[in-house]
Amino acid sequence: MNELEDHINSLKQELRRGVVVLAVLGQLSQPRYGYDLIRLLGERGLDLEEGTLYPLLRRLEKQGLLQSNWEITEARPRKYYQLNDYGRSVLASMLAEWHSTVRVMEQLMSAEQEQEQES
Amino acid sequence: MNNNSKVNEWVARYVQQVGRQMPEAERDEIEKELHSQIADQLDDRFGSEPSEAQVHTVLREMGDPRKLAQNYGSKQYLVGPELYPSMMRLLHTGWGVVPTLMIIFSLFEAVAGSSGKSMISMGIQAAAQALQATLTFTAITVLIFAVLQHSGATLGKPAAFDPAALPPLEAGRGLDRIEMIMESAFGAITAFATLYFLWVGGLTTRFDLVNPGAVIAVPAQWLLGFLLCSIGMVGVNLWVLRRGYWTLLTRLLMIVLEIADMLFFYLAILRPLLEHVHRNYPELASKVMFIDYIPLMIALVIMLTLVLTHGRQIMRTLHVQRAKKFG
Repeated sequence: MNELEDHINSLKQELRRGVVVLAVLGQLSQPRYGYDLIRLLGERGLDLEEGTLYPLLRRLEKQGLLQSNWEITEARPRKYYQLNDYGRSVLASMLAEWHSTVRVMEQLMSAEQEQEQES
Repeated sequence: MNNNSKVNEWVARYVQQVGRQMPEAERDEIEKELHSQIADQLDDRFGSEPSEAQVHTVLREMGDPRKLAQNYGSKQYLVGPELYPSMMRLLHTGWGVVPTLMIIFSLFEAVAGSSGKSMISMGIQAAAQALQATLTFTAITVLIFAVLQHSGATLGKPAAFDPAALPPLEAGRGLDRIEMIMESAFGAITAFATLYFLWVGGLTTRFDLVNPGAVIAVPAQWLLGFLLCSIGMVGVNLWVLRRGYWTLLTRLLMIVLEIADMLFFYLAILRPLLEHVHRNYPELASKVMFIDYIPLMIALVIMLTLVLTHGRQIMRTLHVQRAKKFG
């Protein structure tokens, strides 16, 4: 049973890996810092490890999708991330692709189920 | 040390372990971000005075520093960011030591033997041998580090990350294990060579216990001093490797041994070589300007370099100790 659970968890992780970037970009229309984003994603149903999110934010910034700035007026310096114009257009394309993928998957799964029921 | 200082130190240790694996250009920024993010977590979950156990919980959830560093942007390397600084430091040291030793060895071979070659051809041969040795050293070093880098993937499952086992804060880049192992190996080879010279009664290019060939006699006490210093340096290196970090005592011990080692090297090898040249090749000695000062200059330059290098490391160790004391 453990082997099965491990296998399922591994496949679930692969599935999530594909949507994490979209999920993160989708929450950065306004400036947010790392831990704030982790909490927000968790409250909205996506639990993400700190060791995954923080490097991801940096990578997305290097790729030119995010802009960042250090806010030093608060209790401690914090680095805030937000989508820039290029990131917004990439997010729009990815959202369209996501909706299309969901439709295709629903069609695939329901077609398969209908075939199973007929046979 | 109060609780806040202990908490800060654990966080600093973790961040240092991540940062030392990052490229120099990005290190400061990433470390600053990590400090801020970990502090936010601790504040939100455990308030303004978290306990050590609570800090360990957060650090454990952050994950193994090596894995986090990889997530920050690992690429396919011949030699990865974890090993690259050690490799470059070893190469920089070798690029100074190897050609110098080869030139000294070639000079020694020329004066101890009876090749009858002209100065120009001796010089060309020495330069060619030095270049060949340097290229060979570079190739072997890069190959060893590449094998170390890529063999890491085939090792068994790594132990679970335990924040309580994070090494203490170390000023600067931390312990370069690979470099220290190489230095220990080099020291061991030097010690064996010196033992051989002691056995045969002096310096010789032929390593043959039965027939060592032409031997340049040197006072045994200087060779013995050189041997003891070499063994001492290897011992200190191994002691530090076992502990996992340098202290002020080990740094001071090493600098004293290295300076004494250089002094014995001058007395046991460089000066006897010079005296041999004066005795057997007076015309050569008269042609080379300031020949009497060359061995002393070599020894003094190396000693000064050692003092400056170790002095800087001692200052950094003192700074870290002072920072830990005052939180």
